[in-house]
Amino acid sequence: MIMKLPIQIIAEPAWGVRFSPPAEAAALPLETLALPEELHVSLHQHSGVPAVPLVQPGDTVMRGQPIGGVTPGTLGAGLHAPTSGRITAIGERAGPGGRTSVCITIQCDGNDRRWPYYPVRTEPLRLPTTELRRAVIDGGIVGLGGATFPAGVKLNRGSGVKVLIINGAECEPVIHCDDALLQQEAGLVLRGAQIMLRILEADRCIVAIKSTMQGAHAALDSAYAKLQDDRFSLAVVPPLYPMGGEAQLIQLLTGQEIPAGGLPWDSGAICQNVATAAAVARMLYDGEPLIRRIVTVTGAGVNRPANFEVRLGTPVANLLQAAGGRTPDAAALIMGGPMMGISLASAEISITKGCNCIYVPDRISLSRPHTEQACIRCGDCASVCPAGLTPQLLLQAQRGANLDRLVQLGLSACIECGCCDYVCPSHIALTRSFVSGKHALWEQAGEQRRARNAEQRLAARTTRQAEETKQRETELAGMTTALTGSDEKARQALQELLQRSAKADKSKTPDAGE
Amino acid sequence: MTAKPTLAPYWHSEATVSRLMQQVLWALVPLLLVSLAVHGPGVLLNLLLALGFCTGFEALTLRARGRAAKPALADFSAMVTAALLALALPPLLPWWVMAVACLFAIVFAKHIYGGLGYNVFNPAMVGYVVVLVAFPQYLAIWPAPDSAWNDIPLNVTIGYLLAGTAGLEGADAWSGPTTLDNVKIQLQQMRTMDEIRAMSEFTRNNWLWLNLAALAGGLWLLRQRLIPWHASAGMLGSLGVLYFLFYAWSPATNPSPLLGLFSGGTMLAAFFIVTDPVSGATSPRGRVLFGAGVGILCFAMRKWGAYPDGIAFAILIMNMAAPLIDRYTLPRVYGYRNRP
Repeated sequence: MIMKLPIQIIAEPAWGVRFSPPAEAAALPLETLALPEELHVSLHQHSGVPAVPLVQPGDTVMRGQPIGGVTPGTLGAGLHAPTSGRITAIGERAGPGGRTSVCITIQCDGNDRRWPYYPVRTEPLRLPTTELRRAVIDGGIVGLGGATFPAGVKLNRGSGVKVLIINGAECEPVIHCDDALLQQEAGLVLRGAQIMLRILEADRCIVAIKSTMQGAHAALDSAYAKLQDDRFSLAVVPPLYPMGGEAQLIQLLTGQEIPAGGLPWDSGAICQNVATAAAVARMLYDGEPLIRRIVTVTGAGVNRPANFEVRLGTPVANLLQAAGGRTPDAAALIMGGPMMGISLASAEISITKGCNCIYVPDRISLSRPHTEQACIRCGDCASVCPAGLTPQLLLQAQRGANLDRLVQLGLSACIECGCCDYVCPSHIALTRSFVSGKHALWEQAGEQRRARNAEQRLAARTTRQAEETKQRETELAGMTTALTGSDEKARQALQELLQRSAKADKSKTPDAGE
Repeated sequence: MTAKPTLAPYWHSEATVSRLMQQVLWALVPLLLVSLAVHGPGVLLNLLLALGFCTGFEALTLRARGRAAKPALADFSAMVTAALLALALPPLLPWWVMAVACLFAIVFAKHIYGGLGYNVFNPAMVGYVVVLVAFPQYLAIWPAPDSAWNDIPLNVTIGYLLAGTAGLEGADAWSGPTTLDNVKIQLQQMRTMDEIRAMSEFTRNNWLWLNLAALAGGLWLLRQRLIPWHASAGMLGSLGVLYFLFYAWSPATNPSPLLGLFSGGTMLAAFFIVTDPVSGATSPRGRVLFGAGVGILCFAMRKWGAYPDGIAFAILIMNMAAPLIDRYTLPRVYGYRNRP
């Protein structure tokens, strides 16, 4: 008898956007991209502090060899050479969003020789949990859904997490990299999830996929039949956007919410992307740190949309070329999806850990032809908001620079999914406005913190001064006793004091002129 | 090709304010047709007049405010106001009454508060109430509840439109109190509902048809998801419940729920005015409350007030309460147990 994953069908929530026509069109093929001549591995492809280079130009590296390290005491992730070759440069290169980041350039030697020091294991689940977690950290593994939060930090034993959610419910329309991964490597994903379950000491794992992902569903079922692990279950979610958002998925699957100002595990559940799980399994079973990922290249602006397995650091141009090149109608180059992606200034930018898609729309699909009109408070934005916000009121507060009101309306719960923008009949750039509102709040919080620190310093200084005064008064009282009384000890103390103050005066004199 | 760095989201739905307003206009077509059929060509003249005045005032005010007139006119909101005024005011009306209504709707209620999106009060209702209070004599004249489109000669209609007095000699033949007005007067004269019904035997019940037409347009808007159902449901719900309670308690002295819901401007208000997002409450719960408030006030004014139909006043009063309702009815934000 073939065991199938127990299924939970998730009902459609009140929020979200269903794209029409369904963006879940044809399944794209999965191909492996040939090694490029050069890779540019960014030192900053995770949330936290950029990695520190562990190599120098001229060094030879092998596939999987550490080339970037985490500064102790900071949040970050290590980097590894995606293939073997020679380091030719370490320097600034253009990155997404008009920013630059320091990249390590590797001239690939084409041999793809493996660095042998990460062990290949057959039964990693027998390792102690601390060692497992250490391996996840060593592997430079971060959340591959796009948030790129260091996975080893999130997989915290004893954090009270009961449920691990393996997120395959791809968030954005047009992106299919998770679907492709599940169809190809469902077993790897589940084995990675087992390792995470062990690290977390959690007892349940829910794999979430969209109802449109039938191929992935079948692949998960057959992988599950081989594993026979009854901690797994499958949640089939409706194909709504932003279904794959961590906070939203936790709420739908467990009924719990991440409390405001809290961390994901405060809800008793955490989400890890399917690709993160696969990366964990690769590290623990194959001894391969995070050096590759699947990227969807799609949109009406490319000739042959497909999913590609690529090495980190591959230039976007190579992917576009593999996808048959851009069509004459290509109107933009976007890293990520149409709802949250970042516009790229050039195809010379290279793939990072968090890059799940290169979206090349044509002019027709790239629509913001209308000028912004007045908000008519229709509330369509509020009805699609997955965080239960009222963007129509937030906008008012934001325009009036009323920061208190922004806090009151719960702006910090905004996940910047862009649903409100999408439905707004007045075409108001709401998301952009809320992002700047958040920045204003952060700045205010920073100022308040600085003010509080200054206040504390002032208070400390006042206490110190008071103590000094008190001490001096005690000494003065001692002097008085000495002058009036006949106590020998007191007289000596007085003399010492006088000498000391004379010395102090002398030492002070040269400063007096300053 | 140059990739211009823009910001997400890159997709947008087809919705625009202009399209929304145009669809509201389409939804008013059934009511317009029934109005024409029962009230005659005066309705059409009113509509043309209102459209002219509203767009004219809109353009002039925009120019005075130093704004481009074209995009604001293209949002069709002034046209919706015009259509609502034309359908809410009597089919026979001197032009200056319409002009005053449009002036107060567009200039005072809308633009002085900052234009579309910023008006506290529903513009059409402000215009309506101003002329209701300022020109009661003109607003009292309605065709009889069983009138037909050719009851009033066209020359009378036009003459009245131009001069306000001429050619009303034969008015008694076709004009009469509206159903609500009639019921109110007769009840005040201590007649029972049965007697009133017996006295007013009409061949057709125009007000029922007018309300059914407005309801049809409203249901289409709901089906197209162009308006949320909350405010309409709140208003019709509270109004229906109150009519039912009073009717059940004393059927002789209270109109039935059917009469109450399908006379006067009930359906026009329920689907085209309390649903105005700008001047109403903004959250779903708030909208239910807002609509319920309109229903309750409307019932109270119809039953105890001086005017036969108090909907316009009820709406303006609830417009004032909308910010307060918003304050207490906001949805819960993700991650917060109560309000942040």
